[in-house]
Amino acid sequence: MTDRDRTNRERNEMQRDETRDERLVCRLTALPREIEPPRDLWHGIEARIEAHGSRSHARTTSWVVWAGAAATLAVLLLVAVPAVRMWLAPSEAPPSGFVSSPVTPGSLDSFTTLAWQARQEDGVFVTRQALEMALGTARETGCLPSEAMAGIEDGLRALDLAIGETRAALDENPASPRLRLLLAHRYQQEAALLHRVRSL
Amino acid sequence: MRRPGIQDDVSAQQVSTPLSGTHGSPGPAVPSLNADGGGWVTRARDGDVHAFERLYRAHVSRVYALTLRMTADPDRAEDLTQDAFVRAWDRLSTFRGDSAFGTWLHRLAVHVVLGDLRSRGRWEEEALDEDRLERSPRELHTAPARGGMTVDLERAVAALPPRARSVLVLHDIEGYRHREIAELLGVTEGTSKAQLFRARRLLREALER
Repeated sequence: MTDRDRTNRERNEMQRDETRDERLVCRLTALPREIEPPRDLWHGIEARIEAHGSRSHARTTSWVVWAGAAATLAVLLLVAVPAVRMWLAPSEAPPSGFVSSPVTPGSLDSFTTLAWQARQEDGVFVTRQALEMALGTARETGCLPSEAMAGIEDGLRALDLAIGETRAALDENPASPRLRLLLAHRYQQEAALLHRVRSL
Repeated sequence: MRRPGIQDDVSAQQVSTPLSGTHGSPGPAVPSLNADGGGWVTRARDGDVHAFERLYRAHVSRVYALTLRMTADPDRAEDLTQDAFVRAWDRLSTFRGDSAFGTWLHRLAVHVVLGDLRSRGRWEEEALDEDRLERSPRELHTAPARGGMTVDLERAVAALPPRARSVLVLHDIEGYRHREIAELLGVTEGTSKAQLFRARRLLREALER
């Protein structure tokens, strides 16, 4: 068989393939482009849409990140607070007849310490109230997806727990500047959470 | 040879036909829609679930046909159809009306199915699935009334390996161009053409058995 014969045979095969392809494509093109599903899928879709809460659209992604951050914060707080308490307890146990020690670079007497704590607690109360109101509004208007709402609420619960634990630690060791700073930090976190919810 | 691609939205006549009764799907009669969804898109974007249901009823058979042929699995096709509509609901705010709603939805559904196919780890398979060549019309979810030849063809398409099947369905049935398929699959146009060539060859082999 010469090269010319082989070339002709290959060309003929290619032409046959093309003809068969055309027939095949004709059949494929004729297939219906619409097929009814065997059952109504709408109810499942509707349930999932409802579960998402109200429309979040483009904000969904940022909320997923936010909810994740809140959950992470919750876990960190749950782990960190007891650890800090254990770390502080032996070295900072107050001597008997204890009088307040420094909070910040300046010295504070016991009255000042109590006043500082009261101010912080007032601040927490106000912050907490505002946060509850913001969450309540978000629930009513449905402007947050349910998973984001759950994330915030988890974060809030963790913050409450952390604040409670820090306060308890501070009761045992009121002179500890580290515990005061930790408590102040928790308040700041709560305020940041409120600010974030309000800014949405 | 090539029929109009997905650029053509569901026509008013198609979607104005009440779907109640076909395959027993309940639900309201579908209203007439023009190319932009007859205002239902705007209403759905504003959070109107009932408007979105209208859009679902107008487009579900098109989306289901795509998911069924690309997955060759009726159960997964149902799940992915639902996924596509839920994702469409979530992303309605990104639909700017540059294309018809049906086109946008169809493309979104393609992304959903491709993501699923890739995640299942069978994407790289190369051979025909012999089991699927033996499937009954019921398993294929193909109406026998369409005739034996159509059933054979649907069965052969279902037996193709996932990547080749995807390219064939998108190009030869859904009317996508190689450039579009290459973009969707993240490959070159040449790869898309090679996959199509291979898919057609496998399909011919399957049909000749």
